Amino acid sequence: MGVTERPLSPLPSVERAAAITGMGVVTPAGSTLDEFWHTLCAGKSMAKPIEAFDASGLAVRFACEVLDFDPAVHMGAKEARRTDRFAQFAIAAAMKAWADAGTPEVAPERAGIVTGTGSGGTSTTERQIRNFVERGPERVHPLAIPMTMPNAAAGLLSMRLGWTGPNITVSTACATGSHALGEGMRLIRDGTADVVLAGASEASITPVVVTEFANLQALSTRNDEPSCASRPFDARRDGFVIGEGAAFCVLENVGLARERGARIHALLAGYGRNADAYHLAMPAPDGAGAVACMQMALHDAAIDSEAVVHVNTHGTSTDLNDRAEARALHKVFSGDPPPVTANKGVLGHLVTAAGAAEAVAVCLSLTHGLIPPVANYVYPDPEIDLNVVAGGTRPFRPGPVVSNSFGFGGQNASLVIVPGTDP
Amino acid sequence: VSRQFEDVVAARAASEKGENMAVPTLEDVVDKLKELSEVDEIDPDTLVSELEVDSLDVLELLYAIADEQDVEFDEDVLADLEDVTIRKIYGRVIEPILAAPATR
Repeated sequence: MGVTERPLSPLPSVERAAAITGMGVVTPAGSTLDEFWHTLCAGKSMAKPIEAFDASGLAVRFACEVLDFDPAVHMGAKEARRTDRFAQFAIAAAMKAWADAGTPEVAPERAGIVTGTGSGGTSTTERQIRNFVERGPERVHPLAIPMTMPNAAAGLLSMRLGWTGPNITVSTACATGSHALGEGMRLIRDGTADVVLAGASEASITPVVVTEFANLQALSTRNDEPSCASRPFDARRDGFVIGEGAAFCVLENVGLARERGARIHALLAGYGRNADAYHLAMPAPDGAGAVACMQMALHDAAIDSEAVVHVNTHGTSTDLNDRAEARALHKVFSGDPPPVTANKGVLGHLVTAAGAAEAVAVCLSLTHGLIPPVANYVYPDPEIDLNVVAGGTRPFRPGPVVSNSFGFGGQNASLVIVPGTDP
Repeated sequence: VSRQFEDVVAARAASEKGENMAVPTLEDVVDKLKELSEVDEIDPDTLVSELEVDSLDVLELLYAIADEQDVEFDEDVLADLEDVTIRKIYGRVIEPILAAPATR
């Protein structure tokens, strides 16, 4: 039996949703919600030549870096020294989200944390490998493990906040951020936690990782015009642009959030997750996994596809993803998908943090009643028949929005986010 | 660690003054630990377990000194942190440095 044949949930969606009451970002497009939003709306790519290291010998020499990040603003010198950049991003974004939520009172055992990342402290790992090879095993830093372990951010946040509730880390490649939010929502829904800080972080713009993605033929090679490189759904796309950053949301039990008078950005109402079971680095060409995932999320939110007003796509700017996702959207929305955007045109691909950053973008879209444009969408791909928002923001009437994330490994996650005032 | 031993170190440190890799004195090590742990006061004769420093601070200290001096540190130092002072740790740390060729 297909997902769409099941009866919709008997519970009203508000009882199954989580309120998004706080948001925080650290991205190439800005590290405040205002800056992030305005940069997205400007529709200009953040891709530039890499500054973090000398990339002159690499096949791909540009990226979307977070250029203005100072860990000392977010933590003491000791903590900064003992954390990798990915954990620093996570702590900064999560604490911004917590502040944005108004730091509500919560019993420590009822407060959970769900973080996501890929390989954890990639730059630290690369440094230690160099130490090992060039100077010997004695020169490998003794704190390398706690610095690089993917769950470091979740542990550090629990210590900083004193939260003793559920504390987990997910890693599903480019679907990680959406999975983190979805799993956080389920902790709220099943009554395990009243408040959850959920999100993801990524800091893997390193010589080896950039080379790995380049050699996999996943990256755009437009070294001469980086700002034109990330162009989701455009006919001249040639791969994604690697980015870095973090995004976190504070999720709360809707009833408790309303009771305390919290400002609710939006409701996370539905979550789908599944696997393509097809290929480690390619989406199923017919988009079957993506179709089922979106349908699962809509079913979870008890919302019909006709009600969806906008899709924030995975939209990576790779040939295969964008085509497969377009096919999937046509199937889910019966040949008439609602307007779509793809924030990766501006942000680049934040890899594991992408889904979380894009969920924040969706919340801001709902707040402002505007869909930000896809950067560099100039030449429509004849094989992709989508209503792509391009050239400027597009006003829309806030309603249910689907946000997609699809990862290497064939792991998919879709979220349904609805306005906070209209569950 | 005997005071006599420390005197030898101090003398050698003084003779190497101005060179890049002078042998650290007990005071140097205490200062380094203060910097790493962000603890203002550290008495080298108080048990580490009674100081505000934690095991990771000591681990970082040992690594920093070994890295700076280009020697290996004795991991056994970490085995008995409950019953050791910074002065004792200093003795264990300084041993391989003094044993290393003076031309380092």
